[in-house]
Amino acid sequence: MTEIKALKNEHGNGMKALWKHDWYKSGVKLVLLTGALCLLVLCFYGLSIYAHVGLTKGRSYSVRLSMDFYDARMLPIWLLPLITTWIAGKMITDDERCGWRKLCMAMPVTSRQYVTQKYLFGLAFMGASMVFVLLCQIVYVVWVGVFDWRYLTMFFLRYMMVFLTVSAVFTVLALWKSFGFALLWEFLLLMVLPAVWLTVAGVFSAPRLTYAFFRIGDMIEWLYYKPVGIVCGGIGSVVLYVLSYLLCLKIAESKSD
Amino acid sequence: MNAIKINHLSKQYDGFRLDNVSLTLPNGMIMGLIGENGAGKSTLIRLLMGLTKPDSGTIQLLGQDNRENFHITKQDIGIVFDETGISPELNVRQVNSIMKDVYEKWDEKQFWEYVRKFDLPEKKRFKTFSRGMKMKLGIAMALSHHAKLLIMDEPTNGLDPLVRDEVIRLLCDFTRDESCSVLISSHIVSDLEKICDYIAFLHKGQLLISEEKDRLYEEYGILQCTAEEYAALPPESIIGKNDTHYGLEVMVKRSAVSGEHNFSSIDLEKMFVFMARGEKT
Repeated sequence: MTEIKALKNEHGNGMKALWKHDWYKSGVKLVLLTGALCLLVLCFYGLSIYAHVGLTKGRSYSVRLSMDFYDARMLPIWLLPLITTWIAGKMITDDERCGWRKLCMAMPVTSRQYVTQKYLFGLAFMGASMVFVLLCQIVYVVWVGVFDWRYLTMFFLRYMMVFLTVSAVFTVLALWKSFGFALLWEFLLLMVLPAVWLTVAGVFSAPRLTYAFFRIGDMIEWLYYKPVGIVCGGIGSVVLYVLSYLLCLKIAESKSD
Repeated sequence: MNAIKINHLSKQYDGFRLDNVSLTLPNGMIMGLIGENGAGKSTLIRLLMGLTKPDSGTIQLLGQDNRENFHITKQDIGIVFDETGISPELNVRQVNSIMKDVYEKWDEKQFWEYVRKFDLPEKKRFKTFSRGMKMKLGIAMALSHHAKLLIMDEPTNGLDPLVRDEVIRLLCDFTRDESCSVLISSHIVSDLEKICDYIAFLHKGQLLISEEKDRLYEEYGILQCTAEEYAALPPESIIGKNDTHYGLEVMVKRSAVSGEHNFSSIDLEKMFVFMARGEKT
């Protein structure tokens, strides 16, 4: 009976406690940040719709400006995987700094629970972001009146796969780095600088070569022009995520200070 | 049953080795782990709690090996670290809500009793707490799930004498139930002297002694003597010596000294200093 209770605790209550901890710690901040990001995405979509409608109705817009916003609607979306990663990583580094992980490991919470909760947290945020972007895209397609199934299948799926891969790559890097070293500043540099560059490069049209080099999404997007790319990319992202999870688990279990 | 049983425990770090430590803490007792900074007290506690893997040796807590289903055993262990480990953004209410899910036997009523007793603010964030308040919250957490073994790493470090006294009283109350045991590490020897039944001395990763406190007082004494008297003492009886203005002060094993001598009693702090220095010549 005690064993069953303990097993239930291992897979249930301990995780619940960890979720609660992260929610209490940064729930409000997270909601505000996500809200601000979603608002940003909405603004870009709104401008894109405005520009598109303007173009189709022959309004005298600056073509450059219109095209920029038409293409740029996807830009702020790239911030979502970066922010996802940043939040998951920051939570780990904060835990490390205040000694919460050490306390957890000394309490009836296992390292498996701890790592799993952080990964699920990253996945949940990533999933929520993807759903939000999907809704935006549907609204966009309906609003501009180009109701082509390709927009919602191949075209959009392609974007989703890019999104998933970028999220997976960044999350993998960040969680692995955080568990390995837990150095916040190093981590911030790794995460924030590319994000800033992406935005700057996207909005101000930086030279194409550097733009493509830094904009990892563009390169991955190229891979997804064919259906086989979408399938392989999806599977690859999931495999990457699972492998990273197992690696983090190993690091956390063998971690000694 | 023993609350703690450690057999030949060793752990090697760069420039430090915890070497072949064996000790036993019977149920219902308080053991003080004394040692200078860097002696290996925190390493030993980390090993006990499974936070670090030993190179060799075994550890049993509450009769269970700490490598097998330790998360079950941990339900009965309360832990207080030097840094409490609570996130700075949390408040006492949130801590209670989290701990409710961590420990099956979490006793909310008892937790709130401690919170009131310690005069801790319920809604203030942990980062606004003073060191004493933080430590009190850590102790309240460790004592509110009917733990059978309490492990405390330097809990009185940096606390003012009033709070230290309060903590010591709490520990005495805790061990009134004879099934409850405490391992407390500190380099403030006077605190441990008041409450401990057993004493373990750690010095540079070596366990110098692990014994009942009263037996230590019986077994060891201080002898004031001249250089000639010192030379006549059996070498195996000498633990350490100290040159003073008034002659030699020697810590000896009373049973190993023959003849009539006027031993003066020795306190733990002095005992530890003599043992750690180990000067015999």
